[in-house]
Amino acid sequence: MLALLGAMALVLVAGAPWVLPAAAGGTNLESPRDVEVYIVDDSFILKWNRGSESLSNVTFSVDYQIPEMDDWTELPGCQYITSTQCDFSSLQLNVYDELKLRIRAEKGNNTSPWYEVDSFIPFHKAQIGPPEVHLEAEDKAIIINISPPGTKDGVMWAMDSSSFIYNLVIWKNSSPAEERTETVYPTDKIYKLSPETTYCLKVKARLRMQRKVGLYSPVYCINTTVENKLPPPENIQIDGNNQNYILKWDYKYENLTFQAQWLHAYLKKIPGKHADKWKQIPDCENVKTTQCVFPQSVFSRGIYFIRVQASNGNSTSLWSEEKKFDTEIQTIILPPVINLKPVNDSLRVYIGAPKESENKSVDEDYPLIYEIIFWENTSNIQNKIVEKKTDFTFRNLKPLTVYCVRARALIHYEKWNKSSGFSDTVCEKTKPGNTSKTLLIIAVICAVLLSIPVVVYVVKVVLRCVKYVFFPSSKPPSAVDECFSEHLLKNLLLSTSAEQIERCFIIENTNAIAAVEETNDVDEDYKKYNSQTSQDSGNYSNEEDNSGSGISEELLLQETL
Amino acid sequence: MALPVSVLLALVMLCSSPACPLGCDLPLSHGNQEAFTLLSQMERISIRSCLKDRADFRFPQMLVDGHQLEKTQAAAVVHETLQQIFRLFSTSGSPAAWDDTLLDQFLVGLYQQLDDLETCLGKETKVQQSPLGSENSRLAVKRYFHRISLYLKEKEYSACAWEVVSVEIRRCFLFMNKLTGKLSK
Repeated sequence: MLALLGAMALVLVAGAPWVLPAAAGGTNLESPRDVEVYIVDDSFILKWNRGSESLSNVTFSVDYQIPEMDDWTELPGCQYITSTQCDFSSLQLNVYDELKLRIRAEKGNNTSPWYEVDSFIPFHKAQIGPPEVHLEAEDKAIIINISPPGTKDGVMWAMDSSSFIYNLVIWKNSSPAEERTETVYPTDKIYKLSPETTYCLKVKARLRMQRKVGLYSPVYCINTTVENKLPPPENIQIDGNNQNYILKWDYKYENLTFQAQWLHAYLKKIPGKHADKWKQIPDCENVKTTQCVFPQSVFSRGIYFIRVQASNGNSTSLWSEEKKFDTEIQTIILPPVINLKPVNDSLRVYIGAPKESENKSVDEDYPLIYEIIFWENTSNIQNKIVEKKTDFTFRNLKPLTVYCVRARALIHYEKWNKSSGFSDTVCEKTKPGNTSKTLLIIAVICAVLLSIPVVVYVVKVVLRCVKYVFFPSSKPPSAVDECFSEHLLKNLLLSTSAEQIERCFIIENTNAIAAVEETNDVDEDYKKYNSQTSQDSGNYSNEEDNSGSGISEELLLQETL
Repeated sequence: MALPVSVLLALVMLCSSPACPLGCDLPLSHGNQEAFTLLSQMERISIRSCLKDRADFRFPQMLVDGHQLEKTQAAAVVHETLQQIFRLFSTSGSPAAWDDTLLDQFLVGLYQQLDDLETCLGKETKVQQSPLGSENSRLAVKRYFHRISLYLKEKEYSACAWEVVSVEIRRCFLFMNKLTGKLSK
């Protein structure tokens, strides 16, 4: 019973959302179906299909809501319309804010339930429309001028006007299958064409790194002109050299003058004509040779385009291809300096900076990597490795073999492949094999050799000591003998009389024991001289109170002998 | 709808992991510093005389919390910001009082940074189209610059309005510095 009630409650709760809207609107009319928003550039169109009833007198109304609004607002131009689409481009919306739309059908007093379109951001939903293209033909090139998609005052791409890049597809009218695709700037030129030919092209815009690709423009066709008498210069090269740049080009004919111009590369990114922004390169006006030299100070750090034109006084050639010129790339990289150090069975390689680096050396910002070629001197096989570190080791090499190394620096950077020349070849011989073992053996032998005299000495000392203790000699030392022999005997015998006491000081380095005698004369200072050597086994101490006993022991010894 | 979203999310997750690093070893902070300096040099009127024209452009929170962005998102934000600054200063409306040479240098610097970034990131986007996170980040940056553009239009591109904008853009460069630091790791 309870379960049944629970189930019924569940059904009611689940059913409520279904029930309520039907109660709000009419029960007959169905909401429009297949509602879609189509946004191309600044045109906003809502399209839908009628419900299953294909009745006349059914009108539709659309409401919209943007974040600033609390409630739905009627969409102007889309109220009670009979058609199944509505254009609301005139509504000045913020294309980056979320937009909500809802639509319903009406017939008389009946209204269908509202159908809500999932909220969306117009910018995300928008499709890039076809761009507008203007063409101008030369003999072997076509100048193109592309206006960004959308209208000039359009809102949709207002923030992206300089972010578009364009994909161009071009083909000869006579052979449509052979197409060429190129990525072009808004103002650009297509080169390498044949004169007096009809070319057709189409362009689409793209937002770099965003998931938006536009629609293709309509196809435009144009004829290239008759070949010009004076061809444009070709093969422009720029090289840096100390304080100057050298601009070189090729030209078929002789006895002509040339001039060169430059343009900031960033201008190409901005749509619009930049024909007037080209500037003359000083020292490259009316030059008679196919090269000109100008100081590096002319170009501050940046990216430029350079073009060259020939002239024979009467007429001028067309401009050459525009050569992109990045001042950063012109830096010269000097070859590195290599140091080799043999370590056991390896060879340690140190790559150092070149000795003299020019003022305009590569910024620390652009890291270098090194291409290292190394080979055994006797063989022809060369190993090539690429290494980022400047300190590394070649391991597991053959001992006592000569290996050679040379290297060059490369700019580790996507943009360009610039490398230095190769460094000098450095060769080094590896150390003999098992050197560690050999060293160990040598060390042990040395140790042994060194220790022998030490051991001998120690043994000698010990033996002497032992001999002294256990096998003492029967004679007293000679010095003591002289001193003690008479005086001490006299003392023993005449110990009570104190008059004739002679003080006897014996100081001897090796075998002495100091004799200290006290006199009865209290006024006199008595000095003690105590000396002990290591050979005395400590029976005799330095202290005064013991000295007496020390002497008595000696006397005892004397007596026993 | 759910499936593509989950795929995109997976891509975002994948590219946040160390398995998918951005190989951009770019000296971008160098460029930011230069651009900042040039903007400061271009100042013609002291901002103190333009205090009444101050406005809150609601700087996008994500630039402030830059350290929370994934690498691809950070790259997208930097790219979009640089693009927008380039557009802002290259289209008509820049005050005539500004030094042409400095403005040129400023645009040249921006172009170079963009070129570098696009060359580097261009390789990445071949692998996957920009994930959802990046799209939303870009949108936030666009909205912010949209507010700046509307402000300039409203103030009829007055000199004071431009100074206010110049200060705001300098703030952008400061925050971008933090983001570019993240990119070059």
